[in-house]
Amino acid sequence: MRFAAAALAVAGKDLRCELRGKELLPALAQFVVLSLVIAGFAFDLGSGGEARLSPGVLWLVLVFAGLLAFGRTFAAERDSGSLEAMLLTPAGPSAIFAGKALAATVLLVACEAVLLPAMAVFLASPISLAVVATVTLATVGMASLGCLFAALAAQTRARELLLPVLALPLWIPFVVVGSRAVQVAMSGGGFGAWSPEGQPYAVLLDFDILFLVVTSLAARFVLDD
Amino acid sequence: MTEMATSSGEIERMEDRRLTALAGTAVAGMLVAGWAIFVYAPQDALQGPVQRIFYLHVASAVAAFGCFAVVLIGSVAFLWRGSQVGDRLGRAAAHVGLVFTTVTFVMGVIWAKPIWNWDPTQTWDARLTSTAALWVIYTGYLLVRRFAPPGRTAMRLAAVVGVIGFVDVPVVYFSVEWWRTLHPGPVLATPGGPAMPAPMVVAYLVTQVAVGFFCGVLVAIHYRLQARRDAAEARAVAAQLEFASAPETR
Amino acid sequence: MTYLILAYVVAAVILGGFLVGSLAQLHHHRHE
Repeated sequence: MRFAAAALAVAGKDLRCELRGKELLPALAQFVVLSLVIAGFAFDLGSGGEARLSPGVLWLVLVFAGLLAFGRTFAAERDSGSLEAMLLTPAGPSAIFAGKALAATVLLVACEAVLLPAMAVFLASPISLAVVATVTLATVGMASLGCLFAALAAQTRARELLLPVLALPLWIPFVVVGSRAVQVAMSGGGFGAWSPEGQPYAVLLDFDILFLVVTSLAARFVLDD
Repeated sequence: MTEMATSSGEIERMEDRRLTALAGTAVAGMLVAGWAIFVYAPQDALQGPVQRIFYLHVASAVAAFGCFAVVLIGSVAFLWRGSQVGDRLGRAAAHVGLVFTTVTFVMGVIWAKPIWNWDPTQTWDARLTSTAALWVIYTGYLLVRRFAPPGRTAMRLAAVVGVIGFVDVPVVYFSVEWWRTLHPGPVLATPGGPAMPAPMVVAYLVTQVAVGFFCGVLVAIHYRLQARRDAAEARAVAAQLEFASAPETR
Repeated sequence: MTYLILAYVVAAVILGGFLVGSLAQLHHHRHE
């Protein structure tokens, strides 16, 4: 089976499962909205502090939503044993991994489609194209790392401990660069506010490419024996 | 049977003696470095005596990176060739690398306080965060090694972490250039040659060599320790199997 | 000046303690 066809098949299967089961997406959406409401109270927003805190809240919610999403991605597979079954098919482990990472990315993007408008409503954050672009770019890289480490952690007996320990340090570069980008975007500067060397979008893209390559190569060692 | 036990015990005693002697040399080397740091190196005009923290702080950072490079090599050796030596080397180097990362971090924090009047609750620094992230990654490496199904699975999964985690090493190094925060920029690896007077560079190099040797000795000790633990475990497993398959006597 | 001493004392304790601890474990873990 060709790589792309296999990956898309796996991704399609995951997404169809999600649409049928409707477990993860409502949970993510609920988590997102709840977090924003709590942030509104906890940070005592509404006194003008939103502008400074919005970027931070955005990435905080995104990171925890990501952990939630990736924790579940492989837990279900493990419980039903369907991962071993998939590995027996001609589709290579890299294709299976690519499919699952793709599905997880789509789910996270759907979650962001809830998060960003919700932030505009609850925190009065200015959501511009620059913000959307930053978040989407970062999601791709974070998703590939999250998926890989979820698959890894699912095979250990300390799954809930290990997924954050492994994923969070490697997500930090995305959060740092993305947060700066969102901060500038939210305070008025758009794509043109950056010097050519300081372009965060290019940096995020570089990270994405780097980690997509690394995780694809590592996937066969994580999934296969 | 007793003779064999004695000779392997003797071998171990010899190994211990050799490693202890090496350790002694390493400590002596560190004392020489201490002389270079506190006596030979001139005082910094700008920062005063506290600047001398630089030497061990940077040398430890380099040693830690070196250890994590060894973890990378060991992990690749395992993934590519199934080398158990690689796995053991990775474990040993990860332990030692974590210790040197701690030293770097703590000395950095102590140095920052008087120099930047640094309040961590107010200012965030890229290198600080990246170094802490590094510490968490390699703790994760050891945790995966411990909590995964024992045997080749644990070695395989940990090796993946060992390889991917190393990606953070250049991120830590370049973070200072990318994010331009409080941490001073590179003073040694600058394009026009080191931005420090020659005696300071010499003092740094002496310290680096001493720390590097010290680090190597620590890795050797830990490798030997892991090897013995692995062997003891293998013996325990073998003994259990023998016991289980022994014919019953009634 | 105190920060300098503090930094090196802490470093010496960490590194020295680790070395001594490692050697102790090594000597302890002997096959009888």
